[in-house]
Order: sequence, then C-alpha cells, then structure tokens
Amino acid sequence: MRGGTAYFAEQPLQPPTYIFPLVSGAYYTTENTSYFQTLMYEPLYWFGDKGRPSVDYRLSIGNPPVYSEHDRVVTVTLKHYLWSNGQPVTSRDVLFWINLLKADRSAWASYVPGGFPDNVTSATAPNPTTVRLRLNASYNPTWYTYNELSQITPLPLAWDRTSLSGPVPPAGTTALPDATPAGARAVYDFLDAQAKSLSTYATSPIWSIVDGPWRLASLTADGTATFVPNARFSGPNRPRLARFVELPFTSAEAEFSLLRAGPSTGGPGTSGQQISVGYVPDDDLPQSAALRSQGYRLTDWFPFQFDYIEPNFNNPSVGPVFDQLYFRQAFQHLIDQKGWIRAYYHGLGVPTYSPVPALPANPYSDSRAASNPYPFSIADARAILAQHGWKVVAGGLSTCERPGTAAHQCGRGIPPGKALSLNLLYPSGLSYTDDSMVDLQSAAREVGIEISLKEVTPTTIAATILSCSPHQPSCSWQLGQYGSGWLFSPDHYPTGEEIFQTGALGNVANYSSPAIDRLIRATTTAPAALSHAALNAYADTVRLELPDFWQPSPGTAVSLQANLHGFSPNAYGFVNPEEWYFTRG
Amino acid sequence: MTDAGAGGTTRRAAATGEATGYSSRHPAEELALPAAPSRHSVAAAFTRHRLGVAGLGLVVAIALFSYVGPLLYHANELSVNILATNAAPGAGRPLGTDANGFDILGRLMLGGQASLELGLAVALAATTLGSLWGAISGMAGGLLDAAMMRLVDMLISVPAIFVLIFLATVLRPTIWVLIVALSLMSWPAAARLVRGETLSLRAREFVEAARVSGGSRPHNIFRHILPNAFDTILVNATFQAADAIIVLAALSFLGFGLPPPAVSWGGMLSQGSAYLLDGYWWEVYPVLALLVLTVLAFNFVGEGLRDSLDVRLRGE
Repeated sequence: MRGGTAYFAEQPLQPPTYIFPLVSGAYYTTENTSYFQTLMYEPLYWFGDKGRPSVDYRLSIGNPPVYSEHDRVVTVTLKHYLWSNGQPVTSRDVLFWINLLKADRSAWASYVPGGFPDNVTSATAPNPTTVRLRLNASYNPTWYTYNELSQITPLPLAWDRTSLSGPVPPAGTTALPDATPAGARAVYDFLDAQAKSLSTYATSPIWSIVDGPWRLASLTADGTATFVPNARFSGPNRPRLARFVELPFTSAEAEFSLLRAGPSTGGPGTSGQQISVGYVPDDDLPQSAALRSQGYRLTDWFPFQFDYIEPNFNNPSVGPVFDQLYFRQAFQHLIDQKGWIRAYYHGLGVPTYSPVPALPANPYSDSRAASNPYPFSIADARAILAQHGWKVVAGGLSTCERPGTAAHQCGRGIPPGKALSLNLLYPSGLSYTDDSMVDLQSAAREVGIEISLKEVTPTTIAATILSCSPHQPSCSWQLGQYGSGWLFSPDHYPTGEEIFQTGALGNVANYSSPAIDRLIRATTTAPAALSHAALNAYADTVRLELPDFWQPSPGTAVSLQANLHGFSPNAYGFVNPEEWYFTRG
Repeated sequence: MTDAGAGGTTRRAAATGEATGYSSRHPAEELALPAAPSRHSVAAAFTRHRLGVAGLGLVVAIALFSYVGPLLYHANELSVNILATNAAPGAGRPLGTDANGFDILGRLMLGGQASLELGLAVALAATTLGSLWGAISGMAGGLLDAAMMRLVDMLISVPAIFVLIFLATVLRPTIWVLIVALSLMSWPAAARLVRGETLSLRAREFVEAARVSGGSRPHNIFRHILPNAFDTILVNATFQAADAIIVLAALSFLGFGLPPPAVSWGGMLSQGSAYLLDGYWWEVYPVLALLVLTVLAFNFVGEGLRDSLDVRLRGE
C-alpha cells in the first residue's frame, strides 16, 4: 500500500554532515554519500543490482556507455530525467560536474592522480542528451564505466553560481561561471560553504533542487533527516512511502534497545519511536531469535569488500621483515579466518582469500578466490620461519640467527638477533575485533612473535595508519587494523589501483611491487575481450603475494519491520527507500 | 599500624603522660602536644570496628585469592581456546570461559593482582606526593601557598578520565604507566587535605615553639606536621586505593586499560557485558562482584581507621 513512514537507523555517531555530492575526504562517509546525497542527487550510473555488485542501467540516468576508437572515446546518452525545478537533466549538467572536478581535484575524495578526470583530454556535449569524453589512452571499458564514470553526478545548472543573492542562471545560458577554471573554483567554494551550513539544508534554494526520488524536508541538529518524495521525480521507482526518516544513535546498543522496544510493524497509522530498517549490532547477534519472535525479519547483508590488516612496509624496524614474502606467508597462517567467523563474528562474516572477493556472488572473481592458500596452521608458520633462519621460541621471542639474503636466511635488511616483536593498532568498540586480535596475539606467541596490542579510537586509527617515509616519526606504526574493510565504492570494479599500486592514496601500507603495478595497469587498460583474464591474473598474484594480511570481512544482520517490503541489500552500500513499501500489518 | 616517626612517638608519649622522658629533645617537643591514641589503643579500637575488620579481612582474602590462588588453580591465560568460547561453568572450569575461551576464575585472580598492585601503588605515590605538597604549601603560606594551591585547584578541575584516555592513546598503557598517570592525577586531593591539616597544626603551640626556637621548615614539616597529619593521610590513602581500582576498571571498560594479554577486571567486565543479553552471566557478575567487594573493602578499612584514629569518634 502507499504511505507510511519508514525509519532507517543510522550508524552510531555518524549523522549526515555534508550534502554537496562533490565531497572531500573529510566528509567522505557512507552516511553522507550512500545514505544521504544519492537519495536526492542521482549519480550518472547506479551501482548495485539487487545485491549483485554490478551496474543497474535501469536505475541509471545514463544509458550504457558506448566505447569507440579502440576504447579511447566514450559516449554517454542520457535518459529523460527532470530536476525538481522543471529543468531537464542534460549533458551540460554532466560537464558542470567535470568542470568543478577539474578546477580542484583535491576536493574530490575519490580523486586518483592520473585517473578521472586527468585521463579525459576533452569533454563535450554535442547535444543536450549526449556527453562525449575523449580519453588519453585506451582503457578497459568495464573498468572505465565502473571506476571512472561511476564518479560522475550531474549537477543542476541552478547551482552554477557564486552567491545566494546572485541571479539564478537562466535555462539555456551558455556562458556560466564553471566554464573557466577560476569560475569553477569560485562556484565550488560557494557550494562547499553552503554545504557546511547544515541548518539551512532543508530551506536552501540550492539543495532543494533535486533529481533523485527524495527531497530533504528537515535535518535536525542531532542528525534526524526526514525526506519526502520528490513530486517531479522522473525515474522508474517513484516512492511509495509518505516519508523516509533516518534516525541518529549514540551507540549501537541504543539502536538495538529501540529495536527491542519499538513496534515490529510499521506503516500508515503507526507512530512513536521505531525502526523500520535497522541492524543487529555484532554483539547482539545471539539476540536474533528474540527479534524474530517479536516479528522482525532479518536478512544478511554482505558488502562487496575485503578486510585486511595493514603492515607498514616503511617502518624502519619491521619493514624489512614485512618485505619478506615468507614472513607474510607465515603470518597469514596465524589468522584463523573460519575460526574467527564462527567464534567472534557469530557466523556473519566471509573469509578473505583474494582482493577480488568471492562473496557476494559476482562476475569478477575466479574459483581461486574461494580457496585459502594460507590456511590457519601454527605448525606451518613455525616451519616457514625456521626454514628462513629464525630461531623459533614458542611462547618467547623468535630471533634471526641466520642473517643474509640466501633462501634459507632471514632476508635483506634483517640483522642477526633481530626479534619478532610487533605493535598492532586496532579500533575500540568492536568486540569481534577485540577478540580476534587477542586470538592473533595468542597464535603469534606460539611461534615466538610478540604482538603488542593497542586499542585506540577509530579517529586515532584514521590519523595514525597513514602512508609514510621511513625517516618520519609518523612511520612508527607497524600493523594496523581499521575495523572496516575495503569497500568497492565508488570504484566498483575490483581492481587495485587505489590500494596496492605504488604511491596510491589508499596504499597506506607503502607496499610497492613493480610486478603488481604492471598487473594493475593491465586490469585498467585491457580491451574488453581480455579484461577478465587481466583481472584474474592480478587477483591470483595478489592473493599469494600478501600486500596485506587477509582477515574475514564482517557482514551485517539487517532488521526489517514485519510488514515492510521491497528492501534488498545493496552490495555497494546504497539504500533505495523508494523501493520500500508497507503492507497492512 | 606503622610507627609514625618521632613526632608520632611524641604524640603517644604526651597522651600517656611521659613527656618528661623527652627532655633531651628539642625544647619545642617538650610542650604539651595534642592528645593522640597509642598504637595499641588504635589497634584495639580498630578490632572493635566491625566494618573495618570486615574490610581488612576482605582485602586479605582478595590478596590471597589473587596471589596464592594461581599457585593452586592452574589455568592457561595466554593461549586462546577458540573451541571453548563462552562456555558455561562446569567441570574443570568452575566459572566458565570468556569469548576467547580463557578460564574466568583464573582471569579473576590475575585481574585482582593488577587491581591490588595499581591501587596500593597509586595510594602510596599519590598520598606521599600530595602530603608533601600540602604540607609545604601550608607551612609556606603567602604567595607560594596560593600558587601551589591554585595548581592543585587546576589539576582537580581537569577531568581525569580524559587525560588518562589521552595518555593511553599516546603511550602504551602498561601497569607502570597507569600507576604514574593515576598518581599524577590523584595527588591533588591528598594535597588539599594535608594542607588544611597543616594550616591547623602550624598555629599550634608546639609548632610555633619549634619555629621560634630555630627549627627549619623541612624539620618542622617532617618532625611535626606530617606525623601529626598521619591519621588524615592514612585514611586518605585507603580511599585513594579504592578510587584507583575504580578508575582502572573504568579505563579498561572503555578499552584504554591494560592491553592483552594483561588481565584487568574492567576489561573482563567490558568483554562480558557485550554478552550479557546472551545469558552469559558468568562473564559479568563474578567480576562485578569482586570489583565491588574490593572497592568496598578498602573503603571499609579507611572508615575503620578513621574512626579508630579519631579520638572523638572513639569516645576517649
């Protein structure tokens, strides 16, 4: 039936804080992008197709892109979409985005030097519904669509201004401020400043112009965001709900308490505090049966991601140890992925054996992604260390007794007597992380690796586990765990140019391998016919090379009110409340 | 009870009418000194203080549990047993296991060691530092007193938990780091108390006499002030111990206490509370009970000492 209000639980302490889709790193969170901006401002291409990690052209503004001239030219045609001010979404709106991006690349969280828009030599709009991009080389069409075009969100030309009091650009105007780099920068600065004024979001003449299914009705200081349907939405899924409300929480337990206390059915006529779509905190997963008996339906959600522990290859003390593949293999043998999933993740996790995850089911991973090349085995770890010149002292500290670079020696840069003592940072507040790190510490002790655990706030983690040079004081971290995995969004094709390529912004481990770099380049430039082979070659090498240590990727148990339907977990983390509806409770 | 030093001896002598026995001492010490209970009478009074005795008994029992217990009850608290996580109490594991398969009873013992060591060390360090600071400040008077006490006011107004979380973030929180940090955060309370005592004592005749007859300031502090403020200092120390144990538990509960494999009651409580709704009571209530009992025990000892040392409360 139509109507009713659906309440969606935000993650603890993460209310929306930035509305402008061209979002910088400081504001780049799932809550700002996937749970907030994309409800109002539709990206050119919609990713996530009923849980499958792929593009959904049906929900996209753009038709499937056409690649020509040996994949050097990409042509995108637009469907008929309207802004809420009545103007059509045109190719000029796409150029507006590109112009802003070019004016200040650092303002875009997903900018990669050499990537989009650096790899675009010209962008033109031959007519209002066609965008043509000429590229500086031939690129893998799938990669370009999934990782480069995926970054584009058309913006209304009514935003192409530098002050609120200035004139709204009339329709059909060609000489707009964004046409010059200086003008585009001024427009960006204006919009960025507007986006920092949270109290004006719902009333702003800027942000009220939307092309998505929803518009923001209110945003309270505590982070409660209320959306109502965009009456002029021209896409395929018009909202059936009367309102969509995102609720803030100070803790996961607070969210769970409301789940337990609130009604398990919603829809028209229901009122009071409730959660229509929420989550079961990991610590409360054993309470799932109680929730079900209340009437909630639970569904597992596994994002398209992998999880890992970062080694710091540039750490002056242990970097040379991490440089040794045999050590990385031995260390990987100490991670009991299946045991962790069973004991600590309450079964809600998938093991990571490859940088191209096998789950959720996807067309990118090969059969090797589902098998573990380094299964949990303390005996194997011990044997590998002993074979490479280490005096293994179970329960103590193993030391290098055969320094040198021969096959049976410790390896380059490792002095005699070097002890295997490491520090590991991990975030507080996640019991499955606490427990699994203690298990890793325990297993490592069995082969004489002393791991000093240090639990810090997630903010400290983000500020500490950064790329560094060996001589920098900030390079003192040795192993780091974020508490969250590498989610393939907005780079939806699972290549590694942002995390494993030498010098990539996401390569905080400072890993560098010319061979891996070549394989990554092949994944981004291979012609369509060879793209799958290139991706397999990359994945199958990286999974064995261990540029980081694989650990299980946690899933989420999503709770749904009994009479709410239409929800399907999105592999890239987006939400589509326009597809939700209530039936009579 | 320990001997409070020469001054304390003087106090006891005065109380028993033996002042003439000190004719060879400094003239000021021959003046009438405040009546003070003898060691024997304090002990006797303490034994009549039921709460105090119960508290002392509990402290001793918890110390025996924590230090002698592991000699009698052997549990592997270093190796995770992933196949025996969250096991209910049963044969071979009287209090069950936690989320890592560690034996709860064994962890209670190890956690007790950390709590007692930290509590007593902080009590000793904070009380010593605070007492010296308060006595010097009170004896100095004037600008120096004002400056020293404003520093105390400033430190007391700093939220200790935030400072400790900050330190735990920038440093690796070992037991020694926590002892130093907690001591540095705790001494101002003792300083304020002892300074108040000092202001009262320095106006007394025997201190005035000592000063007039040339007794140096350090001499007066160590010979007259601190010994006569000993009651206050001792009682405060017991409360400091209890407070330190609570702070360690709170820090550990928040994840900023002693890192694994070290065991702390707060850390156990934190881990166990995550499973409270799952019915794993053995991961919460035993450690909670032990924590409350330990803090209560120190507080009872403090109250018992205070009442035993306070002549008025004893009715002597």
